[in-house]
Amino acid sequence: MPCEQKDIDFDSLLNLENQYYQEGFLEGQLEGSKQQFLEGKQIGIQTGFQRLLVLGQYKALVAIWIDQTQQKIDAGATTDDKGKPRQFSKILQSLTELQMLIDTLFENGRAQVTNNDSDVEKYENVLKRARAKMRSVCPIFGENYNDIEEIAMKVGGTIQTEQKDEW
Amino acid sequence: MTFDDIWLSDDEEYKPAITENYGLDDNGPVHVDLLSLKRKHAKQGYLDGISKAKEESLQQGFDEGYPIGARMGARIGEILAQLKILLMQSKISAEDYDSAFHELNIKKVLQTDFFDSKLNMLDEREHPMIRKWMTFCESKRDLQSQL
Repeated sequence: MPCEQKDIDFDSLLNLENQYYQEGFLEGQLEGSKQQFLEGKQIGIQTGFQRLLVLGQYKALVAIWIDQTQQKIDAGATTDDKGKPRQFSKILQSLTELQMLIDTLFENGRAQVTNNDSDVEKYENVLKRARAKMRSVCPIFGENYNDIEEIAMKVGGTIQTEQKDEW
Repeated sequence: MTFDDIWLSDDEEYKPAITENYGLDDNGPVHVDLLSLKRKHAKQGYLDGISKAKEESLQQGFDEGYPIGARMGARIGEILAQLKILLMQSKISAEDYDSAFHELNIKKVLQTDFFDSKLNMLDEREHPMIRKWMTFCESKRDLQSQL
């Protein structure tokens, strides 16, 4: 066999190796993508659930408390049912501000958050501020703040809210 | 050496396992060395492809799932808070509250049966458990309580 012919065959062999590798690579990439995408999605759903659970509780409680406070104002009440003097207009203002803060994470009543950096930062900021306000407002309405967190933990499990979930 | 030593005859046609059959377009007679070469390189390519895909796909999946879970979690948080108030007002029984608490647990509501094969859920309000307890709350809508 002439030397020139041998060189051509060797090149073809290398090309074949590369071609087979690339074919396998693409198939592996496709298969790996499908599996990992779904696994990542499951974790994402779980994390989103856990993070917004407590804010959903805040949202509902604040809406109910605003309604109750407005009724007190409409009735001209100046004390709560235990006879303690209350400035209901001030309470209402505080609750309305809290509602507006929480609603920055919602659109048409549905949570609107993503895992991009700015949304995660916004979430952390809203949660921190809303939590502080909720702690101060809860006693007025006979609610124990720790119960709210306990419900979230029992229903959603635990999560480190300070940590960004990125790999 | 005969032809049959080099090329597989029709009778001996090699049938690769599915996992070995990367990119094979035709099923004609193939040289055994060529098949071996293909198995070796395609397999390595396949494994490298899986590794490469893992990291970025996991993150993409997470990002797509996160808002779905967030909408569900927020909605369930609202329902639970409403039920708690209703319980405090004695407008629902402790049994009802406990049932909701149990049925709305993350382990229950995130069961794959409630999602399609791609884990999609367009509207969390269509989730059977969420719909059930939302409807229940609406039927007890009068959430007035004593301050």
